[in-house]
Amino acid sequence: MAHTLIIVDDEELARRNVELALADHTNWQLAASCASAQAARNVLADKKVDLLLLDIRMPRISGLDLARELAQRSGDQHTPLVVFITAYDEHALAAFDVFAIDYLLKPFDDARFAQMLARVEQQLQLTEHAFNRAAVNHYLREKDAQARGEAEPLLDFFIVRSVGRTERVAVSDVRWVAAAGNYVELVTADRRILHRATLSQIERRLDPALFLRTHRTALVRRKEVLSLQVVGDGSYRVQLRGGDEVQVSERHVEDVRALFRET
Amino acid sequence: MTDLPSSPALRHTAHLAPLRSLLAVMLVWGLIALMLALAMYSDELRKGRDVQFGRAVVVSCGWFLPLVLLNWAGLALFDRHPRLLRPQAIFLIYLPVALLIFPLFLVYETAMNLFTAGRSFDNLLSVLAEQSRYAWWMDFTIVSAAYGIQVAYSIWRQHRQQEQALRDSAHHNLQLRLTLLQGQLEPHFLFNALNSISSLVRSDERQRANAALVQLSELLRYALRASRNGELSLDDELAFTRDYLALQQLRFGARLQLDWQRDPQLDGSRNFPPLLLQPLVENAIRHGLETHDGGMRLSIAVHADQDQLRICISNSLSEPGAPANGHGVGLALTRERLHLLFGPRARLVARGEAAAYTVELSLPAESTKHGAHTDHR
Repeated sequence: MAHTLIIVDDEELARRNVELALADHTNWQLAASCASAQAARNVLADKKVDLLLLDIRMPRISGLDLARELAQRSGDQHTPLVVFITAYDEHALAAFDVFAIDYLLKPFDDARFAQMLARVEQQLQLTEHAFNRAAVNHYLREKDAQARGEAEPLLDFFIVRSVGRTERVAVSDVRWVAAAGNYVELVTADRRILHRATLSQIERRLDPALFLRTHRTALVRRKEVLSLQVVGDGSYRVQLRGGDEVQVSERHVEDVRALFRET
Repeated sequence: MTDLPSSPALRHTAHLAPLRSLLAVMLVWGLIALMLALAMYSDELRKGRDVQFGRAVVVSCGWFLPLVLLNWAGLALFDRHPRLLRPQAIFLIYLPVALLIFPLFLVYETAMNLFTAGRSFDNLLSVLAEQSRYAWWMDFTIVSAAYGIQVAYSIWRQHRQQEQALRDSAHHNLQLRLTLLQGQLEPHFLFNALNSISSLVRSDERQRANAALVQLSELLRYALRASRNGELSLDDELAFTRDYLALQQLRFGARLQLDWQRDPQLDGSRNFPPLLLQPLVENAIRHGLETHDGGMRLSIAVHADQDQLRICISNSLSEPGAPANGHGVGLALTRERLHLLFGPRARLVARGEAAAYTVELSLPAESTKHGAHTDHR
């Protein structure tokens, strides 16, 4: 049985673009093509759909507003998975990565479209709707706080897209975080989990009382730090409880030293 | 929309703080008084007379008090009315200084001398008349010199302020250009336009896709030329606006209706400030079309009216009396540019009516210079 989706975008050519791209995927079927969030609501009232492709910037009711309504539905009500489509929104994209929300950039080619659908299919197979809802809720909570001029809420857990599945990683399990290009590694007691986000994006959302930035590439849980050492070439390292050694840069050495003075 | 840098032309130049200028004048005259006191003191000492230095200082400060007031008033006057710093005005103001203030100063000096000598003021005037003409001449020279030096200082100060204003204006103009450019290459519009073209390619509508690609590249080309400070014509600007609107029509389809009017006798090759119309047209779309599901009619009319060029951009509103907020930044930007380029000879009027929102521009007919140094007096 084919998966179903609704495309919601106020521009006609944008909707057509998706319809045409979808033609190559026979296991997907377009349930409706909606020019507004209101129209999408009406369709969702009658039908159960697997995926909602939501343009963010729309007049009157934006894609985010609709996503908020859906994410706030209770767990036993069926909600479609949400993937945002956007022409440009730097801040949103960085946040989407952190919260493992899928998005599609306009314009897109066939490969990216296929990639997006593949990820959605995986989530459907593993019935990861709850993750999707939680991610969207997280993101919207942060956005609302920003809009009110309040501090962004701190994270208690990460939603991470791993190979073959999505998982929840509790912040309390994370000992330190290493940066690796556009990704970070969340280092726990027994694993290193790759997460698509930058270290700075992660740092903003963690409690500075718990975590300390020691290097451009490292964010360390304060309690994990055992000792500060100087290495042969004059650079610094901290030794962690788990046995890891983490680099410390000139900029952050003082902050690390302050750690030892606190105890 | 990016933040608008505030224009130095529209800000007040910093005025002299009255208390600080008084203290400065007092300091200068105080030093002169001090030197005079030293001179007098040394003279008296050599004559063998017993004199206290402190008293000498107080007395000489007292002498110069009117000059302190004169200079302080002069500084304040020329600071508030810099237009007076012209030869005729300077001379005209000098006349009362020479004819009124100088005699008063003489009387004051005589009175002071009588006072310090402990004599009465009864025959003040006769004492005054008996003073040596040399002393009169000295006083006259001192008063004139005080005035002259203060005027010179005011001129110097004004010159510095003008230079700074010119620098600020040039810098500001540059920032305006960059802001405009950022608006032109507004990412949301750009990527949506590209997405529309992507759709045309998918549906194999080669003609339309290519036409749109060409329009988009024309936009970028124009924006690049504009950023290089080139001289661009009215025709160029209208062509740009057409291409821009054509791409918007690609996005919105039948929702966007256009209506062009142009005076056939208008000379399109005349110079025109590049990208002047773009923020206004973008506003119309943003507030007249993107805010609701329906359609919008956008009319652009270009007319010559004697020596003025008149451009009228009007868009229909979905709700009557839709507020003009949000138009604010685009309008402010355009007003600023017009002011920088033409001063009071250009006007921008925005009207929000029941069914439509209209912006009217009028520009002087002669060619514009692109840059901050247009003289608008």
